[in-house]
Amino acid sequence: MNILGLSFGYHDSAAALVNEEGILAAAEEERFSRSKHDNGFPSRAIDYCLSTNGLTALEIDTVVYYENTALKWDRIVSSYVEELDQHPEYLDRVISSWIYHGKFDPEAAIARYLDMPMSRVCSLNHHQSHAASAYFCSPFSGAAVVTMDGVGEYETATISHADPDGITKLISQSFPHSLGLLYSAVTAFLGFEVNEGEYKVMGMAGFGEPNYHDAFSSLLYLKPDGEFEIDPSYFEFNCPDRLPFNERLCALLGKPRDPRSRFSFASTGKPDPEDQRYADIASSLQKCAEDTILHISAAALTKTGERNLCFAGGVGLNSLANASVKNRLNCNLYVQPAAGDDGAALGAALQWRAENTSSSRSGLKNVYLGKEYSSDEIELALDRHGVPFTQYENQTGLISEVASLLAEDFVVGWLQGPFEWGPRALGNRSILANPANPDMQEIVNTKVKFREPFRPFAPSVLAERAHEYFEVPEYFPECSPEEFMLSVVPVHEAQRAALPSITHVDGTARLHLVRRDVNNLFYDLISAFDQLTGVPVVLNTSFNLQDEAMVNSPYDALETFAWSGLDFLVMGKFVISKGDIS
Amino acid sequence: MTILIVLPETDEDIEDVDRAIRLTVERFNGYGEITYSAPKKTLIRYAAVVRNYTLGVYVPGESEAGHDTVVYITERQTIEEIEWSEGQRVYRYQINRLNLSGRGPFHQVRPAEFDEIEHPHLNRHVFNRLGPKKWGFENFPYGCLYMDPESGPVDPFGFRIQEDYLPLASRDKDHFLIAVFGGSAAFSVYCQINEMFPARLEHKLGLALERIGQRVTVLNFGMHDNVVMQEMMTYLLFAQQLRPDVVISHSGHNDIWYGLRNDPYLVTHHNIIYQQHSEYWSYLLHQEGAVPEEIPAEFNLKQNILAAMIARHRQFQEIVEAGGGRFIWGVQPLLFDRKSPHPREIEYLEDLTKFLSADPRRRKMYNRVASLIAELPSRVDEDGDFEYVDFPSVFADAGPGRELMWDHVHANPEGDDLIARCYSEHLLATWEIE
Ligand SMILES: [Fe+2]
Repeated sequence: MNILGLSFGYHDSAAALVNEEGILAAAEEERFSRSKHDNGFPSRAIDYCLSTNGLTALEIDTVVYYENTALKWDRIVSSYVEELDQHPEYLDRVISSWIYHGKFDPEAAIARYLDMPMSRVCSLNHHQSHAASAYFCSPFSGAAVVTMDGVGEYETATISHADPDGITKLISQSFPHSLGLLYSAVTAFLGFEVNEGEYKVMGMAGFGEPNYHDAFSSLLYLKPDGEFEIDPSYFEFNCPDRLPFNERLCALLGKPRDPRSRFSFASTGKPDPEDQRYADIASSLQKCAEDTILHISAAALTKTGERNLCFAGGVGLNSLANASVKNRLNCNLYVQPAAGDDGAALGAALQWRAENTSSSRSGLKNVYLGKEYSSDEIELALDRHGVPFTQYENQTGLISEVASLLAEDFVVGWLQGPFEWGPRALGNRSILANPANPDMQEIVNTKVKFREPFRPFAPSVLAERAHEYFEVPEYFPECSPEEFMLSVVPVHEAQRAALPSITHVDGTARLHLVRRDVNNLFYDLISAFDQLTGVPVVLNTSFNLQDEAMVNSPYDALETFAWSGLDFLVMGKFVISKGDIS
Repeated sequence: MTILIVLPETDEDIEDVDRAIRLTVERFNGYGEITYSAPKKTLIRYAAVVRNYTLGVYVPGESEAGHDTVVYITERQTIEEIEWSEGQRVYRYQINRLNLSGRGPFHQVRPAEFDEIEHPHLNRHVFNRLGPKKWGFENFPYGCLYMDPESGPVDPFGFRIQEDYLPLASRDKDHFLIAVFGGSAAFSVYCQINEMFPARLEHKLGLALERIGQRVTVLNFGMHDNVVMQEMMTYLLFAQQLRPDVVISHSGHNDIWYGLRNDPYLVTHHNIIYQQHSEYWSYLLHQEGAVPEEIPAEFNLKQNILAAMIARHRQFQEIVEAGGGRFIWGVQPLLFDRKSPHPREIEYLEDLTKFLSADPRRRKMYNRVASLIAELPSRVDEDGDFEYVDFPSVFADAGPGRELMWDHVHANPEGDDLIARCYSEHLLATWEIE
């Protein structure tokens, strides 16, 4: 039985294909369109899921859409009615946009695209899809499941109890009480783009102190039982027009940051005084988010009596919060690597499978579910663009060459195997560099990523050596958030100087643990780098330029290589030098 | 004969409207009596601007009656619901810059096709006889010719050249000839023929040379959309016989723009960059179905585009030098080069950003063009073979007090005057003339 899960229409469209044996393929549409957070119909992601498994639409038994459109529309209309006076024209605009983008009937769009009867297309609820994406991919047989995002239909957060019989929802929090929307609104206040700038806020938080904690406690109150309440009068959640916050929030937090201004910081690593306030607001927001997530998570564990906790929904990408949940609640945490709405496509398929077949969980040990390219395809792209290359006979030769390049401080684009599921580059579509070079953060930032210099880069470290450099236990259970770059840990004080380019201003790093059984090529590369330098860590950032989605194909990698300051490109066993093409 | 100019009810910059009025008057001066009409609530505003003319209240469909020619100065792209009388000539002067995208502001509305009043050379040779009788491109043995009589007088091939240049082949020794090549930035689509930089260059150099008893002619062979391959073909067909003393290739943008999306085999392996529409001819003639999308999924690599451009410019240089001429590569400026743009340039950039935000592939293409043109002068310099003028730097350093660019790629009259000044200073310095 082949089940296709789909999410589209809002953020991060994706397709995921599962059968009774496991997860067959999953990919975000943005990897094919290269348009970041592409929310269009995921035709290319669907085509990939089918073709890579040699299937046609006829062989798909069921397609599951990740949310309930009628219920969502109901919420939009009822929140509009509350603000009819202030925004009389809002609904007209939303209706036009929904008609234009075909949002009223996603199931019909699916049936049309796959040329199948409507009877084979169904839909679930948004948070049900999120919850399923967390539990059914986790290594746990019993767990508390927490979902948190902006908003689905009405729901913004849920607590469930999951066991082999299924997922039972215990608590549900409704719009407008949404941690995701609060975080996004303050992200916009801080001058960053909603659904994109949240990472920047996390980076900025490291420069500040949570001095605005009192202000935030007037925005969000924690209630018993894991619930919370947001004061919506500071925000424009009902009819989000230009900005998701209003004058009241400005009265509370001061002047919003101009999106065009640069977040400056002196060479001491501290922002200029006028930016300190924004860093403090970011830090206070982060603290408020962590407190809320801890509050919900603690309640989830208490209510279910479990020690295992699963997370999904966009808030699950808050790696700082994930770390504090693990540490403070002393629980086993699994976070769906595609915690955003992309992951809900997979969740929808897995939930339907659990309800209709005897299969339940399919532990997701690695994220390499995307498209893979053969040596022939790589060579074809190189020839097509007249790019000279060196081809290595075997993996050992390749690895020793690339490790030396990294040790010599070259910045390397690295494309291997299938691309990753979720927003993180975990060693198959990565830009790699030497983390021991103190200038490397700046080099990678300004010459390759062209992004804000205050955003930290992540370290990829051999799993069993991580405790030597980071404040982590010697042993990690399988599928820990650290394997998916979803947790932030302190760098040992004594090692910070050894790893200057991956240590954030607050002494932390967003760790990526690399196990040999998960990605042997990447593991061996880091080992070889260790042998040359004595450091079992490489700097790892996603392989893309600013404002572009991560690369998918050899052509994408070649193009990004050509238009950036990358020194070398490694694709499969092919090594390309910038010197040879300039 | 009478000409009615209908003024806009508009929020557009007064500067653009003033220029529109001035150019319209210049264009129809001497054809007959000019009168104006304007929407009632704007009468006071315009009364001062057109004070020597009759100004009436505009009533759509009525005010036009009895005039031989009607010109609408408007931000709209079409004139709706007016029934013009038989034989009336109608023009539209477009004042919204974003909607022009590379076309001059004067557009003929009626008659629907050009006639010999609009373009005296319309039937001069078989390719313009067979071609479309409207603004755009016509087929020609070596590619496309651009037909744009709306921007002012053009010769039978579409060049902004008014004189019979063949006698220049046997000009006196003290008579310099400069031939300018390039795309729309050299054609200077937003400047009047006397404002375009080749005309300004002729004027500036003329003043300096006059003092030492010499003279200069500057011929503009610039043609909208041309890449350097076409510049060479144009040179061979029209200019080589004149043995110009100096050849200027004022270029960069089009080779990058097309170099990004042309067939990778041709660009990468044969340094061939061509107008994309040459490819569409093959689809129309030999294939079924639609021509490919305007912006393809893959762009060529930066290094390959640069290599192709530089190779072809070098070839052009060799041909010119073989004819005893001097070759100058003027690396053209873009609006993106401006370090501190003029407020009106910023306004345009903001509009453009909004427009591009809806189309990520096009936005990417613009970004690529901008970054490559900024890098081009240093690449040309590194190459070591070229005499060049670095306009991206000149435009980058001109302060915010000067409005130089009309859109992202075309200069306005002030910008063209600056370009002419740079070429003039460059030439006079090398000629060692004060
Ligand atoms: Fe969601």
